Amino acid sequence: MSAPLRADLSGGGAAAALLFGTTAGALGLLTGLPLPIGSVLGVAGVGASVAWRRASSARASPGFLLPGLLAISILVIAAPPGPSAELLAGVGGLVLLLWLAADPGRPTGGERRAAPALSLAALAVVLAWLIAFLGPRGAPDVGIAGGLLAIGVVLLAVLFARSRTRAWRAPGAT
Amino acid sequence: MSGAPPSPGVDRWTSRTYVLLAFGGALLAVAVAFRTPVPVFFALPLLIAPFAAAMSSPRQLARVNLAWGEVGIGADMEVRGSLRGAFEASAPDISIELSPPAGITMTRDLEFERSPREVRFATRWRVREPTITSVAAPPVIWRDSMGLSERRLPGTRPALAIERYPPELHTLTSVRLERTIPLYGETPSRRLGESGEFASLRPARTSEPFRRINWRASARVGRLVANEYDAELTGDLIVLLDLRPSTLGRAYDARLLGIARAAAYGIALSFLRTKVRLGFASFGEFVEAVPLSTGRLHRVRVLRGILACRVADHAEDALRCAVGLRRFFPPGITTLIISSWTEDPSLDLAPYLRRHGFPVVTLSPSPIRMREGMGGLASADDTLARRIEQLERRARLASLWSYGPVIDWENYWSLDGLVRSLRAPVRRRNV
Repeated sequence: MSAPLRADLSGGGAAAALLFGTTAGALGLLTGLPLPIGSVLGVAGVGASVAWRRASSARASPGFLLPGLLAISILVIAAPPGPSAELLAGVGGLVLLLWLAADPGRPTGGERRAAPALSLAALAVVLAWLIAFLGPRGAPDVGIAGGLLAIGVVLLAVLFARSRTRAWRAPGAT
Repeated sequence: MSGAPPSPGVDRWTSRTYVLLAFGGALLAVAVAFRTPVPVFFALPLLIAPFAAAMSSPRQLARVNLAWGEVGIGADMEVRGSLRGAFEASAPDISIELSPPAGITMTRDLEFERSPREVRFATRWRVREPTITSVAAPPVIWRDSMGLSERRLPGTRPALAIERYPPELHTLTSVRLERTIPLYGETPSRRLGESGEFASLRPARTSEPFRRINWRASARVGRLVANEYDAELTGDLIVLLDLRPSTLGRAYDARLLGIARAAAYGIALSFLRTKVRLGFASFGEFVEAVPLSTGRLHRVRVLRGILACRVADHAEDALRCAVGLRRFFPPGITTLIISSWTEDPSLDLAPYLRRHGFPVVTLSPSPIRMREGMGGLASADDTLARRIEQLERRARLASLWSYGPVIDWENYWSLDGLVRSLRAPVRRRNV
C-alpha cells in the first residue's frame, strides 16, 4: 500500500519555485535600486520562502510566505511606474499563487486544480494593465484607478457567482 | 429522522489567506499614498485569490464518513482507514488532521491513496507503554489547492479504540485458574449454565436465543433442541486495580496506572474468553466494583470500569479495601492485585486481602525503567543507582511472597512472568 500512497505526492514544485525566483529576479532589475541589489533581494526572499516551506514542520504555518512577500513588496514599491514593471508585478503575484498551489506536501496537480482561481486573478491583472497601458502616459492615477476597478469588477463577479449557488459566510463567523 | 440532507460545513479562510490580504491591503494603501501604480498590480492577485479559491469549494460534498482501525501487535501498530464520499475531482484536496494522543508517537507520516469515491489513509504509530485508550475521530477537511480556503466536512466518524497489552496475554486462555488457587478442596462446581463447555442437549424453550440452538441435533430429532453447558470450568477471578497515589508523583502514577489498566483489560479479556466468571474492582479512596459475571456484555462493563479508573487523591488504608471487597465478592476467589505500591508496608493490599479470605496474586508494574536517566547521573552511576533501586524493590516485594505469588513487572511489553506463575504456581499449603 505504501508505494502508491507515496507516489501521489507532488514532485516538490521545483518548476514553480524556479519561475517564482526568476520573476522576482527580473522585477529586481526594473527597480530603482542599484543593479545587483534588487535582483539579489528578490531571489533571496523567494529562496528563503521556498526553503522554509520545504521544511516539513513549517507547512502548516503561513510564516514561510513572509520573506518572499516582503522582498517583492519592497521591489514593487521601489519600481518606477511603467508598463513592463506593472506587468511584471502582476505576473509576480500570479506566480506566487502558482507556487502556493505547487505544495510539495500535497498531491500532484495542484497547479491544474488552481487554474480557475488563477484565471480570475489573471483576468483582473490583464484588465488593470490594459487600462493603464491604454490610458494617458505619465498618469499614475490611471493605473491605480484601473487596478481598483479590476479588483472591484472581479470581486463582484465572484460574489455574484457564489450568491447564486449557496450562502457565503464571512471569515471569523461562527 | 427527518430525512433532510445534512448541512454542509462552512468555508473558512486559512491563516495564509489573512497574510495575503494584509500584504495586498498594505500595498494598495502604499500605492494610493505615494501615487505609484506598480504595487497595485502585485496586490491584485493577492486580494482576488482568496475569493476565487472559495468558489472552487465542492458543493456536492455533504457527508464524508470515516471507517478506521489499527492492526499490529506489541508496541507498533498501523493505523488504516478510509473516507467515503462523493469526492469526484476534489479527492486530492481532502485531508484529515490526525495526531496521536499522549504516549503514542507517529513513526511514519500519513499517506493517502485517492479515488473519486474513497480516500484511503495509513500511518504508523508506536506506543510507549501498554495502554488502552480511545482516539477521537479526526476532522476531515477540504482545502483548496492553494491552501487559502477550507471547509470541515460533516459525517459519521467513530472513535478509534487502542488496546495494546503484552502479547503473552493472548495465549493466557489455556491457563486453568483453579490450579492457582492455594486453598484446600478447591474444585469447580458442575452447575449447568448458558455458557462454558458443552455438557448436554435439552428441549429448547420458546424464548431460546438462536445461538444456543443446536441446529444439527434439531434436524435429527425433528424439534428444536438447545445446548447446555458447564457453567464453571475454572475458578472465578477478581482483578483489582490499586489507584492510590504514591510518592513518585502524579505524572508517574498516571503512567503506571495506564500500564496497569492495559494489563487488567488484557487479563480480563483473556479470562472472559474461557467463560470464567470475572469481577473487577478498583481501590482509591473507596472500592468500586463490577460484580462477577461472564459473557460479551460483561466484557463491556469491565472495560468501562477500567477506563473510568483515575489516580486517587489520597492513599487510603488497605483494610478499607479488604472490607469493601467483601461487600461485593464472596471470599475464596482468586484476586489479582495490580499495584505498583512498594513504599509503606502497612499500605500493602496483599496481607489484608489474604486475611479476609481472598487468595492473592500480585502483579506490580515497576517504576524503575520509567525513571531511567531522570536522576541526572552519569551512565555508570545511573546503572549503579538502578541496581540498588532494583535490589531494594525486590527486598520489599519478597516480603509479600508469604501471602501469594508476586510478579515484578519490569519489562512492560512482556508478562511472561505472570503467565508462567499462573501455569505453574507455587502451592502454599500452610498459609
